Amino acid sequence: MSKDHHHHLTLKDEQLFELCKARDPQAQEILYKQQANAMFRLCHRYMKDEHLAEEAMIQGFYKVLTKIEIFDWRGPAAFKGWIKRIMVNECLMLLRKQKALHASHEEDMQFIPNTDFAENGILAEQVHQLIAELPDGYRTVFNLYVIEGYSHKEIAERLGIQESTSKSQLSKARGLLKKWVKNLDML
Amino acid sequence: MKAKTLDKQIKDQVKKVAHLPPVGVSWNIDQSWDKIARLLRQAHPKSILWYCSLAASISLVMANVSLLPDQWSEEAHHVQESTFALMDLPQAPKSRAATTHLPESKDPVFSAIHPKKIQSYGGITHIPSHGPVALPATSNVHHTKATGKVTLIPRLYTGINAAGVGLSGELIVSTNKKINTASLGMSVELNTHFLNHSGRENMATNLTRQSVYMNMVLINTQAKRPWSARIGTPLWQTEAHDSGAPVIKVNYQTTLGKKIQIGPELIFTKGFKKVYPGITLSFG
Repeated sequence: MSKDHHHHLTLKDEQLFELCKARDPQAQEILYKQQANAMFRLCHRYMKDEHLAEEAMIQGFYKVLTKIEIFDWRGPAAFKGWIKRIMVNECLMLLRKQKALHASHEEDMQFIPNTDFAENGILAEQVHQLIAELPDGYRTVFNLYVIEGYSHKEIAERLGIQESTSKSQLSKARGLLKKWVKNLDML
Repeated sequence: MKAKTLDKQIKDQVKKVAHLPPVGVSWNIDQSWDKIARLLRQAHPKSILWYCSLAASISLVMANVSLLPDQWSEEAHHVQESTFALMDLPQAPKSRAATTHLPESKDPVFSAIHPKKIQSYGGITHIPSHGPVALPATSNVHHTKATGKVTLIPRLYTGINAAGVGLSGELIVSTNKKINTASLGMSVELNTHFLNHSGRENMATNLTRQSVYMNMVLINTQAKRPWSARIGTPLWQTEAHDSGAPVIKVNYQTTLGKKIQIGPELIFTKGFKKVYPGITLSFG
């Protein structure tokens, strides 16, 4: 490992941010590697297909790294929040392209758990899988409302749907999740 | 189970593994980085546009600078013949006006650029007296390049106003200095006006003029509606600018659409006694 690379690894968040702003390739890679797992997981919560999740994440990081100068440093939490918002936007754009942002109506879906997770008892991974298995409409609203913390009004604006539709999609998502959780005796 | 309890438990589980490598997928972190790095290496169309804007701005500035000497001397010649009345400006003594026949000098560049001689001549002005002037509208190309501590913003100006057609380039050097959320920068803006003075026998029908403005610029791209504001003054102020009284130009633009900026502009002359309002409209 080169001295420079080692120096980069010991950078503080703000220094890393400034180097990324100056288009330093090593700093860009470090920033990516710091955030990649979380951002892939985030995208995979929105996109059931892992290849689409990867596509959204790649486009998201490309935007982060090329538009970084417009972000005013207000601490690592704000920076991470900004990256997350970009990733969510990319996912929504991709879902829109896939015409998946419509209200879902599946009521009788069955959840087939990944046996690896069940056997290994990895609850959190099962939860991830549960969310991924939700129909597109339910999943998008559930992610935006429960995980990202958007209001129904914001969700309605972002998805171009009625607030009432957002509420009903959330309610149906919760209904399915409750059913699956109960069947699997998970939470 | 209550909805809120379910939400909280699911959110907690998601948070618990948020930074861990995902399980049960074939995704490879390094392969994705290779794809991102490849994208970053490719010249983005916006970058190409930025470089084109930069090249165009520099070309316009250089072209206009090369025009300046001939322009000034030619204009001086025309004005000497017949335009004092039209310009509504203090007349210079004829003996001094005569000194502006510069092209006869053996050193054309030196003689043409000689600012003292030009400035001593009363007929040269950026502000025609026959109507309000809006300097060329700015066509703002919102692509910037960060170069360490400063950001370089090339802008292309195109516009039509009461006095004629304007075409100019502007280079803004935006610093990291901030006033609230707006960046403070300096810019040099070189305008070419094509003025049409018809109805005078001895007048050039298509007179061009250059005005070189040094501006202080405030740019706010963080605002809900991005805006820019500038205050500027001509770099080479002639006596024509109302006997040395400063000419001040202020301009404010806000976004009208994604690619359109609009805003008022005021030009103050004669020690703020005369005001020329204008409107700038920008595309790009």
